[in-house]
Amino acid sequence: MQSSSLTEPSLLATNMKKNILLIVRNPPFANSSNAETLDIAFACAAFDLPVSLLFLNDGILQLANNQQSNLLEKKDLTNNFRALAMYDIEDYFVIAEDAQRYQLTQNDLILNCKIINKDKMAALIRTFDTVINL
Amino acid sequence: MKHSIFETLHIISKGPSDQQLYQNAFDSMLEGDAIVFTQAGVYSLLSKDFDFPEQLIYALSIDVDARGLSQKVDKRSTLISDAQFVALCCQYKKTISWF
Amino acid sequence: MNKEQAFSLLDEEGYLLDLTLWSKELALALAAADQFELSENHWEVIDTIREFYQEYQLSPAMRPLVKAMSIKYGPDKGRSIYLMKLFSQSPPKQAARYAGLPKPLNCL
Repeated sequence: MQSSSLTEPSLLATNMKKNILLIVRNPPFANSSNAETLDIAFACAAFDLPVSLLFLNDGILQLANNQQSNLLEKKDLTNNFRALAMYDIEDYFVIAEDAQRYQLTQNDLILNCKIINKDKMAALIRTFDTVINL
Repeated sequence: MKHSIFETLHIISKGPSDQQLYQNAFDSMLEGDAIVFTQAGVYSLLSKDFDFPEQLIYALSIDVDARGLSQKVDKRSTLISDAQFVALCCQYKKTISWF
Repeated sequence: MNKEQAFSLLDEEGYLLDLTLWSKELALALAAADQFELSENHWEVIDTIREFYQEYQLSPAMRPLVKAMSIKYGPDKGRSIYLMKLFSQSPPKQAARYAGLPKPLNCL
């Protein structure tokens, strides 16, 4: 494909697959929604759909390292979230204000996330064709 | 119509006491977006705490009527039927559900 | 281990119910029941899929299995065509069955 054709909006629409943003808003062990979001991510990967994840609000807590789910006799989603990279899903976002609120830095997170300011969130969301917010 | 472009339709189904959810939803909005209140979300149209945003505001009339709010809701909002709700979802580029 | 002993440990889809009861003998019995012979190449996949499960607590679909094989054994074995030729059914499903792991989800 010639590079100039990439700028043609109609070609972009037909050649590119819809990109999907999954928003994770819940802390670990809250309910099944974070596990369901993972299921959606893995299912999208099976169909080669480009997926990104935004860990919003308490969602960032799902990424905190050193969790010991066995103490609660619950399934450890941390390992499952780390598997996303093996499904070629590697585009993760967290909000700087959420990280500050919970005193989390990149070193405290199990995934290598892009940290964006809250006032950039709306523009980020607008770049996606589909948003699933569980 | 306030905007010529129909960007994102934000569907809010929780009441206004869920402040964090409202903050997240409003932080996600830009010009060209609109809001539909459904279920307990329609109570926003009563609350003095609720600052009306720039965006167009719709509320599902069945949820408004069921809660006895028909005479009380803020006049800046537009009440819509289920069919109109579906039409709005199709009209906008995408929807985001806040629940 | 004979076929009856092996099958008594499986769910209705043929996957091991209690993951701690896995053994090489079980894998051999399950393969024998399929009239399928396990070569060194098959064992590499079974080992890889078991290591994947240890690490991520889930059975891999095709793409991550290919990736894990590629990381461990290089690009020649990290290809879906290689795995397709090696197995008679869906590679992630068949290998997970012999490896005593749950059925992989989202597997086309």
